[in-house]
Amino acid sequence: MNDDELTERLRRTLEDHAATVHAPDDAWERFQHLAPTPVAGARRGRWYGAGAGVLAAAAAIVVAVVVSRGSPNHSTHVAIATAPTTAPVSSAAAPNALAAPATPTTAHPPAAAALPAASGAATASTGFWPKSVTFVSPSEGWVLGSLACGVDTTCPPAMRHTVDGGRTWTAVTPPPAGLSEVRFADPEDGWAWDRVRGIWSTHDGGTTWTRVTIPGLATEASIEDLEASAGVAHVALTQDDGTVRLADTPVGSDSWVLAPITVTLGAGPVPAGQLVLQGTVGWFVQVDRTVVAGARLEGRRWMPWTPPCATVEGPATLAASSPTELVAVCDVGLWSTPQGEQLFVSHDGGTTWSAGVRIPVTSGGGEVAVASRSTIVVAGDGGLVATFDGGTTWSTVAQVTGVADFGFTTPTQGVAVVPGQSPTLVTTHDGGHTWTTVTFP
Amino acid sequence: MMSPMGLADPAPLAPAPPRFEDFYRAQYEPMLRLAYLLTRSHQAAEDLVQDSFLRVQPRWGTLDTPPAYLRRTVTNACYSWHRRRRRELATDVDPPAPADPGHDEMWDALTKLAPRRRAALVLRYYLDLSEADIADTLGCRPGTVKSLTHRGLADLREVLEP
Repeated sequence: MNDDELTERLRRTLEDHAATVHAPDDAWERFQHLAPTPVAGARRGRWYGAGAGVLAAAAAIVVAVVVSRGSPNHSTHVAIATAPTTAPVSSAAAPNALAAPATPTTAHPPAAAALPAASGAATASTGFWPKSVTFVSPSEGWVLGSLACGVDTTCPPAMRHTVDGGRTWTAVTPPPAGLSEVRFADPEDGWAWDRVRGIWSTHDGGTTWTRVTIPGLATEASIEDLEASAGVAHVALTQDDGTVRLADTPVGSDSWVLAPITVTLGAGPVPAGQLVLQGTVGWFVQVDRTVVAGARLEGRRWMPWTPPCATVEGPATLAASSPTELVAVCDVGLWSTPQGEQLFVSHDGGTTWSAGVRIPVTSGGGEVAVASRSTIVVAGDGGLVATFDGGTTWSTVAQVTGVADFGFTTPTQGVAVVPGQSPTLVTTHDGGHTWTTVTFP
Repeated sequence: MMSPMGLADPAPLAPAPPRFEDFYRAQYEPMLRLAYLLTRSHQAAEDLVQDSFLRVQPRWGTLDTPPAYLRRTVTNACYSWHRRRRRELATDVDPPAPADPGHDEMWDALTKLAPRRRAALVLRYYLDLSEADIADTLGCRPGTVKSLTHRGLADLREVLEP
């Protein structure tokens, strides 16, 4: 049998057997039953950037750096519109009332429109579709995305940069195509990655990007999450041997070192990991339909850790507002008897947890952001619901669903990407009480 | 530019955002077939494809090429399924399943291949993907695809012509 005969026979066999497979008529209905969110659910496990405490402490230093980077001579910054338009969100929007105050930490960008708290939905549509957001200070941040395009075409990558808290945005050189996540640790050092395409790093503010290699790692590892804090970047990776590995590097170099610890991979089909960092403390939780395993960062050493909700038959999402204040939103009983999203709180860095408090959302992915011990915002299927008293009372603060990269950069400033069919970025500058849609030039 | 009516031509409209449901309905069966060819299990294929759509759904609207992303997700899910199955088989004491009476030699030979080689052959000779697209799907370099395909065909030949 020559090569042509072999491959022809192979083709025939594959086609014959594939032809025996037919989609059941009720596949879509079954999917809808399984899906936790109606259209655009939350990406679990996305707590971005450094913790609020770190950002607040670093803000003064970073602002000084920002001034020097704001020079028009900066080669990567392409000056485009400086007077962005207002997003056509709803008649309730009052963009003129959102003029930027003097201090960037409380600025309400004019490039934004208020989101309704109880009705309507964000419909802002621009030529830029955000995918991932990161801030290194209250004023400086990046949004990785793409130029808007159709479903079967490759959308050109694009990135936007702000040095005034989101009031104005400039187009900057994006990382290579196909990367979907971005984090910066400071104005110079950042990473962009995709689960299967690997990690690229920059150490010159995004002018150049270089593929990262991690010595000792299996070639088929996929990236679960990456975060940076306290001068160190950490990444979690799933290996084909059924384990998750953690690695770290000083933010200014690509000197990645694997941590000795391995975390068990779950038996489910879709593993996902989440890293949460607060200064030199951190947590990693591995979820695969249910909570599987975890690790805790103490100093620069990852240690075994039993995450919350390990026995509730559902996934968990973590967020922290300090090295000791940690919350978990768990979809209790999702894979047995659904009991809804519940909030668990730890005041000792994840050693002990309070009993779960029911969050008034039916489902929604459980993405969570915490600004302080009392202010917690959860993404549900009916919008963002928030508590400002530590979980006793809740209210809907914005009609957006399926958020990603959800977090606070300061106790008052927060961001989230809203993927949906027309992706947008939303921000808050009043501690989560109101959220506005950013319009990119 | 002005139209004959003297009115300004409207700005070109951006393409309407595709609906996830349409995407699901268009892609479900092709992905089910792909998963079946990679797992040889109808039940596993259905579970893995549904789970893959669950994974894609939250990112809907942010993906550059949803079909390619879905294909990667399905392929990875099938690969993970093989990996877990290997671990389970290593501890299972159940006897092997009886041969499928309707089997053909080529189909049986495919099951003896390492999952990555099998995936490379299915992507190449069933989906007719280019080496670059296969590399993107498997998360490896095109050179690795060439090697996987070459070795996969060699393995098949060895099984079929011992």
